Amino acid sequence: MSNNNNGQVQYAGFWTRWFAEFTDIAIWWSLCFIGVFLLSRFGSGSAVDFIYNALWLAVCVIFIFPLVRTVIHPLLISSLGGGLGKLVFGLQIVRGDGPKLTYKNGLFREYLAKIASNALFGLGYYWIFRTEKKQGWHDSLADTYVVKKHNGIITGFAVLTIMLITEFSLVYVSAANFAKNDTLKYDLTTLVTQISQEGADELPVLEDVDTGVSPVVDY
Amino acid sequence: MKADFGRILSEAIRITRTNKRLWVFAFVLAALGYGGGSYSSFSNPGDLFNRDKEEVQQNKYYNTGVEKSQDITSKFLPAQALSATPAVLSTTTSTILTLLKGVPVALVIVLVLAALALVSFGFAISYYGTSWAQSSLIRGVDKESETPSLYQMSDFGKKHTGEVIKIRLIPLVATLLFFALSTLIFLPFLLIGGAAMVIGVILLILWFIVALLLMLVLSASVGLGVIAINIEGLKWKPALKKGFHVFKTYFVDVVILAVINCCSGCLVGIALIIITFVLGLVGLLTILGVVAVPPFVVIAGPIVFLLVIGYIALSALFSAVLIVFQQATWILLYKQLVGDQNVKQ
Repeated sequence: MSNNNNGQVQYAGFWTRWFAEFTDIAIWWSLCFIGVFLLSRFGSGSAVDFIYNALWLAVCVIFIFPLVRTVIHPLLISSLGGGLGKLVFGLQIVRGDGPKLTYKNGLFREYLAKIASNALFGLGYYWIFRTEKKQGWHDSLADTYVVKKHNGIITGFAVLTIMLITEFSLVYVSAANFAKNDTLKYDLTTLVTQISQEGADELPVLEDVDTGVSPVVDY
Repeated sequence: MKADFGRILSEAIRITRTNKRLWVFAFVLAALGYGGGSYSSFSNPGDLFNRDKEEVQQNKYYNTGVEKSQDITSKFLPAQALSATPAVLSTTTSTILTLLKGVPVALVIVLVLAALALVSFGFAISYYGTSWAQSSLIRGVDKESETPSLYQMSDFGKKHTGEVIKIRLIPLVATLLFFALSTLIFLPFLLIGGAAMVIGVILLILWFIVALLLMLVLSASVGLGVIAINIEGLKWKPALKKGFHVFKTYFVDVVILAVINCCSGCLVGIALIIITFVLGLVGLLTILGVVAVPPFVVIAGPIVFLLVIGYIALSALFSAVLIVFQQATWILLYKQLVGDQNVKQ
């Protein structure tokens, strides 16, 4: 850990830690936005394709990504000293009695001790302002400190800006892709129409109706 | 009766009031749905109303969406294509039922496995968390005169969490066993029907009463056993035996404290109901004010927001205080009963 000019350990303040956490979340969320982009670009040829691929994406976003993060985040803390956000901001989580946390310590700090800090609208985080060593309740419970390893404010904000720009771009491009996809729009519109009608099962199928037109839609 | 309840209650109030560090563990317990209850099972009295309103809104949007989609359809598509809609759908999209039938098996498997993994993780965290927080809280109350730090309490709690988990699993296993046995024994009676069914139902009621009493004894023994684990450093088996022994020897004291704690819980519940009523009234007046003077919404919005926040905060606070107080009373009772080695095993 880095020391200041007087040789003292520099503890990270609330706002640096907040932005580091925000960056961490932005990095993880970029996976979701990439998923949405891939869905809009390659996974929505027809309504059926779109619905199944959207289901895959939803399963990933709701279940798989949180599971992966649950496993990886403590691993990053134990091996590198912090999540991705903290790393780019030059912060490191250290123990009171040693330099690094074990995987178990990381798991405890992130998923149990933080329950205490998050209770009552994050009151536990307010203690970062109050205590000399800038410890939230979760830090006190896990005997950890967040220290400045090096000055990473500029790098951190640069990464955060890049992530946000990338994510907004992905959203914009995805929305444009969906807007351009006339087949999908038509399929979904007709699907909604059909579902809204009573007795959808009783609707005539292709064999029952002589429509005189090809089932392939031609705009 | 051996316990001095006046001392226990005054000490418990003092400990709860002067050791605010202990509230941190109570917040964890409350958040994980242990004891207190009003925080974890927080429900806004207006929720039902809001839900109905939301459903109406959703239906409105849905209907509007359908109408709009029909407008779009009729505007942009030729009549011939529209008349062929069902046929087109049958080949391109099909109905919801067909869609559901066509969901890839891999997706279902992944969904089920991932959901199971997340639920298991949540259950494990919740079970470990409550055991750890309870152990830490007991340590904090027990050694409150030494003013241990949060980490010292937490570290001590972690060391005893394993044994606490084991002892707390006993009522869970007993409950599961009870339901399994009930089904096995009484299902034949119910299936036979007639007079056998009547006898079966009577036996079932008696069985339930006996099981309830046994569960109460077991729960009390486990509760005292958890304290024994943390105060005396016992393993789960001797702790359970000791818990049962204390319960058996000082049955009246334990029951009286249980009733006192029940009353304290009721008092907190009543306090929360009064708070709900007062805040609800203020909220209602604010909404009426908006109806009467629409520009008032600029002030009313933040007021309602603050009311909701205040209610949640007060509920959490009351639950935390109640949890600390109740734990403190049990620990003090245990120490009074066992402290001078009067209980002989």
